[in-house]
Amino acid sequence: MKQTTFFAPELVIDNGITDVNFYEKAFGAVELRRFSNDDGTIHVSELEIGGALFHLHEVTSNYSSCPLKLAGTTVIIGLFVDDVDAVITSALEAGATLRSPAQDYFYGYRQGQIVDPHGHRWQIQKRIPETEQTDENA
Amino acid sequence: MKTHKAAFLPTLSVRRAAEAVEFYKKAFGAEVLFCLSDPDGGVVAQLSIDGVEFLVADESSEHLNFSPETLGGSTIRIGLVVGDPDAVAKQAVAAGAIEIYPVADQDYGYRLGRIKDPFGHHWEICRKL
Repeated sequence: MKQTTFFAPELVIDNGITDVNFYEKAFGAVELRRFSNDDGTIHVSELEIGGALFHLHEVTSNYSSCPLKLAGTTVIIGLFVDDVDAVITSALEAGATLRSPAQDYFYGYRQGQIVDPHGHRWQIQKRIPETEQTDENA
Repeated sequence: MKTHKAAFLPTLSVRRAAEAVEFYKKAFGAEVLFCLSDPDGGVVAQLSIDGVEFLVADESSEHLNFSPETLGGSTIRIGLVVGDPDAVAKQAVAAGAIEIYPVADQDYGYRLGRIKDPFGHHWEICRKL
């Protein structure tokens, strides 16, 4: 059965952004549709990463702003993927900065964290199959 | 590049995370999967709304996790796609959320409304038309 409840986060980005190259290169995101301003900059971009839908919205109101303007983030986007290390490598190649390298945690996750060029923080992660867990982190 | 199957697990930074957990239980019928407290009273909890999981954590400037109250706004709105956005938004408002705009059919193909929770996070409650 198709899941009817799911998150589709809306990442606020600065005004004047024209491309979604980072998300395409880093995560293999596919842009589904875009609403542009008259000057070609992004108003809203709808994307998906391996079936997970998300949106980029330019700054339009006092309620929300982008991480670069607010100098911080209020949400960390956890993203479950099959291969944490490969996704972090491609994110760094695409222009992200590394916040914490991929490592196994005792609670059974492999996780690493990157900051994207728009200031959003992504925690790239997978659950480690029990058969692969060592005694130390089981 | 190879595409992978992916899913989101957002972490919402708040002040008063213990209260926030109670709010999300009432507002969205969230279940608490775990709730950890540190000796300073900081709380991290993993919740599930209809099987969709997220984390709520007390803000920590040391870790650069800021609540919307501290930053004066939020950097990510939580789009929550549900079967019945009208009912979900109504329940959230009854639990203490503020309606930013009511659930209505939008020209971009969603039935969608926006609420602000008492901790400053904005939720867009929607379904595709």
